[in-house]
Amino acid sequence: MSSGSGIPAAVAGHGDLQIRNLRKTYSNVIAVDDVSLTVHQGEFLTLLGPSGSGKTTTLMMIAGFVPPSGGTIVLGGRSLTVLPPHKRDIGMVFQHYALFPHLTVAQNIAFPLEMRSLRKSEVERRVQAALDLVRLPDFGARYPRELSGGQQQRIALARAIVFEPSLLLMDEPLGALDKKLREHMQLEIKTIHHDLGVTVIYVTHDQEEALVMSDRIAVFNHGKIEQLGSPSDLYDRPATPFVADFLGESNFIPATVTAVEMHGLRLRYDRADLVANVAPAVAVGDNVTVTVRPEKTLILPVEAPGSERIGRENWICGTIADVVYLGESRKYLVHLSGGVTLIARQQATSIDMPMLQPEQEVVVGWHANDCVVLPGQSEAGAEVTSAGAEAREMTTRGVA
Amino acid sequence: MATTRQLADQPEVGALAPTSLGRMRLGTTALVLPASLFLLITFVYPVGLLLLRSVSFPTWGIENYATIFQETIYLRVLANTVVISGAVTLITLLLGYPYAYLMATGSPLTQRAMAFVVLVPFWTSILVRTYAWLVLLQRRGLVNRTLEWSGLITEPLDLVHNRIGVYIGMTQVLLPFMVFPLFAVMSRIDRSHLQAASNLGAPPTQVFIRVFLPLSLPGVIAGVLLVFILSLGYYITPALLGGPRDIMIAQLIQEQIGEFGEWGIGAALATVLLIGTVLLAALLNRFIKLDRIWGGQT
Repeated sequence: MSSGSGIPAAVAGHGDLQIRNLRKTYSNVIAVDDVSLTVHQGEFLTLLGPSGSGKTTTLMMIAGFVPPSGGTIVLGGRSLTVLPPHKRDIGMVFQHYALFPHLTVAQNIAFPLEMRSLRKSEVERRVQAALDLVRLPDFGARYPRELSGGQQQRIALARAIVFEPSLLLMDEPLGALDKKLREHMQLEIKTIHHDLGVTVIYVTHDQEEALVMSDRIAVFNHGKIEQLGSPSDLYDRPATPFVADFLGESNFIPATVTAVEMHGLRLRYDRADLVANVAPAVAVGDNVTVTVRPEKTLILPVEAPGSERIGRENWICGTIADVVYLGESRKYLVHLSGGVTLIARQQATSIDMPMLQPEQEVVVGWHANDCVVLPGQSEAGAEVTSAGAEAREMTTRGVA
Repeated sequence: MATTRQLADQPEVGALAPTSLGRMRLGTTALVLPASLFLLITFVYPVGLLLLRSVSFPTWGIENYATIFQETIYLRVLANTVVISGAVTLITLLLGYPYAYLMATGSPLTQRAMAFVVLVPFWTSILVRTYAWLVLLQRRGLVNRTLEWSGLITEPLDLVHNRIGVYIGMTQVLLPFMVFPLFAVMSRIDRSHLQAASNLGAPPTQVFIRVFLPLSLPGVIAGVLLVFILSLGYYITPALLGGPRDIMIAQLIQEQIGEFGEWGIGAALATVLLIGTVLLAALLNRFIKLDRIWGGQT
């Protein structure tokens, strides 16, 4: 997976988009709260977050449709902050495509070129090139209503890039497509991004989409950026419980720090001693949350020989409450004696792999390297779990 | 085309459908029967009788039609009717389009306030409104007094009992019929289309000319046809505010039947008016469907 590869992060390219202290307030609601962000030239950056988190408002401020309440937006050294939308030279793919229904596909794509007073022959050449690029070369004479959702999506993309903008904004462009087509279009957009070298800012609430497509992801929550980093940064080293829960599934185990060592921490949850190879700024006696991904855990029957436990430092005892069969994997819900429920996921590497049964006594283990310790605990975990569930539910609804 | 092929491919559906469809039709027929009977007795029958007189009074034949299409007085009134209706339609469009535009692009509060302003005159009888115009527009009326007082004119203008009076009165009465179809279409124009145009480099005037205007056309066509059709049959306003040269077809019909007892000529004029209106209504129906096609999908 791409992890900021090929992006000269340290070099401030002349085509960078720089957002400084951007704010948007509606009467007494803060939609975007002091967001600062640099998007590098050629980068694919995703704004990810639940609905109402400020990601779309941020995008609309970059496009110029929403005037900021404060802050600055600079693209390639040119200030956009007060520039009207039609002078910004930014391509945009709208959520519902916004193709002009009274114009043919070719006229739609020609629109931005005509606004730039290009010669007729040049317009025709570029329109055809754009249609070829999105692999719909013979669709120029049709009307948008005669196209399928996926085809409309491609035409919207062709129209947004035909005038060669240096920045392309995409507002949940795949939200209306079914799952198969969405996955296909994700790869196609990636290819076009790679071929054109255009900077892309992509808005989505679908964490999977964000992980697949992005060089970097900015996770939005309550109008602020919770964490900004590569997909692997965010997934493997989440900075907050919200990020840990919003990107994929996560377990949250409340624990107390018992020792701070050079390369990690010793912790205690209920009767279990845990170790973690991370050193956040915590002291002995602090309450913290240990997060670990379900697929990073190993689940074994309690009677399994000790040799099978070798290599994993952390083990917790519990009882299986439920088993979910997912085809390629199995998901176990494990009640721990301290009242927390853990999720453990096991790849079905063989059909013959024995399935553990509800009520069975098990141990769940993970590497000290595979968990992240976040300061604080209490309801934080529960709160983000519900927020994450909501976001996942939205994703599912998007599919339907 | 797809539907026909589908039906041809599935004969068993065709075999089943008539029973259930037939039962449904029977139920629907029963529901519309009372209203249909009412219309038949109180509208279709008397109007039919009247129209029949155009070829039966005083004797059978088409001489009534020959008269109205040959004598200048009738032709002039027919021309008057078309010219006045056309002019009123144009004036209401020129006034109504910007009004509907501001209404459709305004805040919900603006929308409600502007709709209220258009609707208020609706709650007053046309007769009362027309007499009110008479008072306002006469030589010593409020409008002339104000203009004289402000020094813009020295002699009072002839604003009533002529074409100007007819235009002013009819425009005021018919403006809502232009504004509301326009507003209905304009308010359904997806804002993201306008944003997209702007994003693609179109300055505000181009956004309007290239995107907003074409998308509002179904409303323009609906409003124009509606106002034109309503104007054709106008009676009270031109009768009270117009002069002897501004007689419209409805007045002529009233005159022929009510004053001269010329049932044949009156009925023939009514038939011409009816046929013209039905043709325009058919056209209107066509364009309202077009509106659905444009508005339906994006």
